Amino acid sequence: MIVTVDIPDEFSRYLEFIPEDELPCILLNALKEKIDSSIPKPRLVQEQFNLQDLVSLLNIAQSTGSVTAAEPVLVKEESNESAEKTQSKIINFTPVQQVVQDIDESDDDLDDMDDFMDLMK
Amino acid sequence: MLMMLRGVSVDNGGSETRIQACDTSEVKCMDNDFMSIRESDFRVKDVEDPTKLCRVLEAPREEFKGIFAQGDTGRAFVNQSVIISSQDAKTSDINYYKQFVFDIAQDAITAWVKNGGYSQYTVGNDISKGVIDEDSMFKYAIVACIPIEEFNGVKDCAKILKQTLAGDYKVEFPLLENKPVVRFNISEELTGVVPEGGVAIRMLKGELDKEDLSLVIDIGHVTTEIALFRGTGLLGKVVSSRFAGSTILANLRLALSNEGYVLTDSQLENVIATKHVKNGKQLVDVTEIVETQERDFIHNYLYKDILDVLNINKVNTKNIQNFIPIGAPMNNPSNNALISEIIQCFKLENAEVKILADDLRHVNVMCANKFAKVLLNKARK
Repeated sequence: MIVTVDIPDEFSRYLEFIPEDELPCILLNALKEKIDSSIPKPRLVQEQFNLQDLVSLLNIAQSTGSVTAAEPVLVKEESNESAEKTQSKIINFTPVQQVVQDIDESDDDLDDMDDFMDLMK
Repeated sequence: MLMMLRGVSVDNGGSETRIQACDTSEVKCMDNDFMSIRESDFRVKDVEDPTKLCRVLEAPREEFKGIFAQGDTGRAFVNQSVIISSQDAKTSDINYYKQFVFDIAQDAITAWVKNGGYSQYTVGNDISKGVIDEDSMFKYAIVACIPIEEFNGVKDCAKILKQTLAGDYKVEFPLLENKPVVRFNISEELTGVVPEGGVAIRMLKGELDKEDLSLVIDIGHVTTEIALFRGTGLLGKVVSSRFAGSTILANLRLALSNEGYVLTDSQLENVIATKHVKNGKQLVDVTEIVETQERDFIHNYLYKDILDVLNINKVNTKNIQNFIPIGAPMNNPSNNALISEIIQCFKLENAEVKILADDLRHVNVMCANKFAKVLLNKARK
């Protein structure tokens, strides 16, 4: 893409000491920094935020090279361990099924609710 | 006049509302697809489910009055959406309360029919036999689930909820035969509030040592609740994150659109559950796409929030005894990338993963129901 910029006279005093051949690069970097600071951090996508908006946002982010994966933040005690991000497969774990008591069963357990009533306001 | 006590628990979420009466094990769910209808746009017509439209005639607040409907029944009329905002606190959102009143009215009409409400039109009023008449009233003991952040915040959201709902209601069902009217009362004394996610700790009663640490992560549609418990007591800071099921859906929608699939929300939810997408008559396996999005959701959105809860409470994850996943995205736990990614990221391999219900959407309302029964028993004495 080729862009021609007409720099207003009032800005020329900021640019007069910059070599002409370096000016395009400096302007481009300033533009990139502005775009980077304008790209919102990953946020909850609202229901009104449609697919087209998301695609546009991603195109902008990709074109500036500003999309990066989140760096893992380690708990202090584990800082000596490897910080590499893993693309994990499903690991083996055994979920323990806690059967919800059937409503038809005795409500004797309501007497045990005393310990939990401070969970309720 | 007959005064009948009823107890219910209510979990009014971003994607659906769930209500469970104390006299049943059934959890009734309604998609969060509520609407109001102007009087000028209403007329009696045949609809799929006539109980899903009611006219609130009397209520403690003017905003609660009017015609409200849900789902296909409501769409049969010109309507205005009444949905819970994803930006505001639930207990500050008037639409949350309108839906709440609708939920209670649904329970009331069900109970009215079951208790012989229609008999008054055939055998006449006979108060001596305890038959429901037009002045009969249901008195409710209610326990509602609200996000942990609102439950534990500086603002007394529990009190706001109780005060907002308290009062007498008169609700007509104009699409039902004889246009029955139900009356019910909600009082502050018989209304309780519990934290979403946190209330689930009650399910571990009898198993918890007082020093046991339990991590509860409840991924809803609009918010994700993250809380730590020591024994039965809530430990320190809790987090109500705005990254939740709707985030996963949005990212998955984009990922699948890149593969050429354009899907509605309900189709996406089906894809998450089945890991297959329909391509004409064929079913295409998209397990890798779904699981990548679920893993990325944990890494890019929830990781920091979960870490905050652990670090601020100075908890080493290796000392956590129980991990309790809740919410629709956590269903199918033995083959769930969200659960496995949380375990792996936070080194929870030694913790027991507690699955509290066949459908993890129902954990909060089922746990809250036990509290509702306690309130109901108290009211009966």
